[in-house]
Amino acid sequence: MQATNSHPPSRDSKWQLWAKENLFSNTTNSILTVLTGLLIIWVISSLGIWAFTQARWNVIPANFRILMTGSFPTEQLWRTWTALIVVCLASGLHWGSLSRGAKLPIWTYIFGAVVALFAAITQVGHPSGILVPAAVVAVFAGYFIGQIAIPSRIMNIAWVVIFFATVLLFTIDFGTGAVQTKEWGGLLLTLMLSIVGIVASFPLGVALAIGRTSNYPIISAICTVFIEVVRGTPLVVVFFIAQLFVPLLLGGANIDPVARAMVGITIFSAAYLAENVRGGLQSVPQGQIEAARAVGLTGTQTLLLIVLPQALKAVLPALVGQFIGLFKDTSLVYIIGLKELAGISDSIRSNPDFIGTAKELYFTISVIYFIFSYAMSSGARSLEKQLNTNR
Amino acid sequence: MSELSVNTEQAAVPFYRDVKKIAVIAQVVFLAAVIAAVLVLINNVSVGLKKQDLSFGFDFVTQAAGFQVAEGTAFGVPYDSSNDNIIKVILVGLYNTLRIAIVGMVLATLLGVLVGIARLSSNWLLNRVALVYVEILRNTPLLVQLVVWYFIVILQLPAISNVQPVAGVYLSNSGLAMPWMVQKPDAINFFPFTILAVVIGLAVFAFFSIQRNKSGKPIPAGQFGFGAWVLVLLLSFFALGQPLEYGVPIRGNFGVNGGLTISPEFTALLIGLVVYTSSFIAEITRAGIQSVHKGQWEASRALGLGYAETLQLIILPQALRVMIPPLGNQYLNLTKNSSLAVAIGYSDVLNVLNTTGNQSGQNLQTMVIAGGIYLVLSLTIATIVNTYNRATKLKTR
Repeated sequence: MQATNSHPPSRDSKWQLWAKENLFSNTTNSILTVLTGLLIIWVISSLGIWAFTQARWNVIPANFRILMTGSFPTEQLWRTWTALIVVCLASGLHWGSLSRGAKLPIWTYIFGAVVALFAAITQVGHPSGILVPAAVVAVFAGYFIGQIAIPSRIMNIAWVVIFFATVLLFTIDFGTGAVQTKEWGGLLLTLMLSIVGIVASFPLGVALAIGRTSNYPIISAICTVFIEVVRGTPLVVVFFIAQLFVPLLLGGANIDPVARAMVGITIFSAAYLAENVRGGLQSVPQGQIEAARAVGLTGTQTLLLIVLPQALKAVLPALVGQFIGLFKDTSLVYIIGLKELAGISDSIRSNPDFIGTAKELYFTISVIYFIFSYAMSSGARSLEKQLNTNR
Repeated sequence: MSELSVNTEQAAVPFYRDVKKIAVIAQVVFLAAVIAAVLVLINNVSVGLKKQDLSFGFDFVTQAAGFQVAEGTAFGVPYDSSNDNIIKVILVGLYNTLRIAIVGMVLATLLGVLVGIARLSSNWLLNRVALVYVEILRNTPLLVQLVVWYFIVILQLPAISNVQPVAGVYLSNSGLAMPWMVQKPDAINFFPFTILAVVIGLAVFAFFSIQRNKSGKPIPAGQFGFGAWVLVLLLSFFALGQPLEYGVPIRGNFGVNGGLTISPEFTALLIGLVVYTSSFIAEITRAGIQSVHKGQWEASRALGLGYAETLQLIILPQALRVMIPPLGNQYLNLTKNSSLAVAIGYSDVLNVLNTTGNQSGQNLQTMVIAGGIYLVLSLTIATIVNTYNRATKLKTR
């Protein structure tokens, strides 16, 4: 049955019809539209006036290296550039291999071009004027190669290799002097804390979740107490305690603050991850376990081959949400005096040359945080699609 | 069937294949490993402490605190930095933490539910604005937001001497000042009556809701309970000779006097926490409302209820059941996030303990105390939310 339209044929265009339906359907709606419109105009115009007439944007290019890498020695910067280009290429390859046959949305070209052009123009005669555009090109090149040639399964292994290669890249002395972790700063430190936090908390969190759901009361109780104590404590307190206790727990050893912060964020994140994974473990139907045992798998095999893969797939959105949270939470190390993005902005704005540039700095780092968090959540959506076997 | 009889002389099961024995062995081994690890770590700590010439005791809490706290009292008892000990200064901090957490929870819920409803509005412009609001706030760190609210918004406001009050409210770089009910000296006597009023109100509500369930008549138990609460409050208020009076902030030579004054740190932390948490509550509200079946909307509209009435009487009560557990999590997060006060210098419990630690050199102990206090707070909130959740859960047989 086709619903017949009782209205006489309208002379309004498609846009007018849409506006009538979605913006001015009745009086209340019209008032709301006008008020919201005024709010938008006010926000955009005051932001625009500030950004184009008052803001002193030169603080950003002048401190760009510091914002990105903190006090990383200049002669060692090739390490970060190598890592950046490799990671960009690998991300491109992975992205391409996941979206085979799809066309790249137009905004990605615009975004890439803007970043590349911006770097090329503001950093003339500086390595980043060439290397930032190179990184952008690496992403796109990776995307197109990945679409044709690379199965996404290989990329999972590649990431593991890249992770360990990067760890080596940042720690080995190649005869030109090593970099100490206390020299890491800015975006580099933010990313290092996040990546180490995510990678290290994953096995610990899964183990805690398995322990908590275990049938053995003692193991379950110990894991439960650990998880609940950590979850009941704010991350700032965990960081403070890690700063004070990690050296003591190793008998008064000399551990640098970045490593202590990594220990803190790993333990904190593991407790939250354990709760998410536990949800997944409980969502796996009992029949799956019985079937696995019936075909002769051992308890360990059932857990690793049958239960865990299904559990992790079920909680993937929650895990990504948690990792975004962890990425944002790395900003708290500012309170214990480390110079990641928020901390380095604080240092720059107290530099006498750049007094009164707080707005510009915090606007910029907010945009950086936003881009990374948003990219993670949209990456998760496409990964979810790829893993969805119920199509 | 005799040929299928069970062979009673089974080979004995080796212990590593016996599920019961494995359970015992595994747990004993695990427990032993945990105990051993804890002992090693405790030993390490004591060695490390000796190396740094530190002790680990909690006697220092009875020493004089010896530093000023910018705001707050020990739950009504004023704090005097020259005499009072560390326990009292911790109480001041705890009071400040609870103050920001409770006010924050109420305001964040109101704002969050509003934004959540806006997210589902049929008005395209409004729901896009709500989406942008939620995405920006959820994808940037709270710490950066707090620093922006404090250093860029509040501290950049004009000085109090240049501010024109709006409806008696002053918003300046020294915080917020507004008309409020101010306590007279004997106001402390009024406090027990406020509790009594709540108890009587609840009792009246309980009585009439039992009557309603028995008789089946539409008795407005909620209104009766509310009325009883207001009545008791008013009666005791006038019986005690008006212990509170309406105060209006008046500008003097040194800032404002009268009414309620709120420090810039409290204002910034409150706005930051409320706005950040509201973006999460908005998503919870949206999911909650969407979880209510569409037929409920249609049935309610068919009965002649308007949009607002449908939302208030039909949809939100059902959505609330789904929303309570994640909402409870947000309240927990808000309380724990209030510890970011350290970054902008609000005297919450962590900030006070941190100062104590730096002054007395007992950082280890003060941080352990901080962890303990937050743990108790979190467990309390979790218990309240779980109890409420159990009470309102759909009863299924």
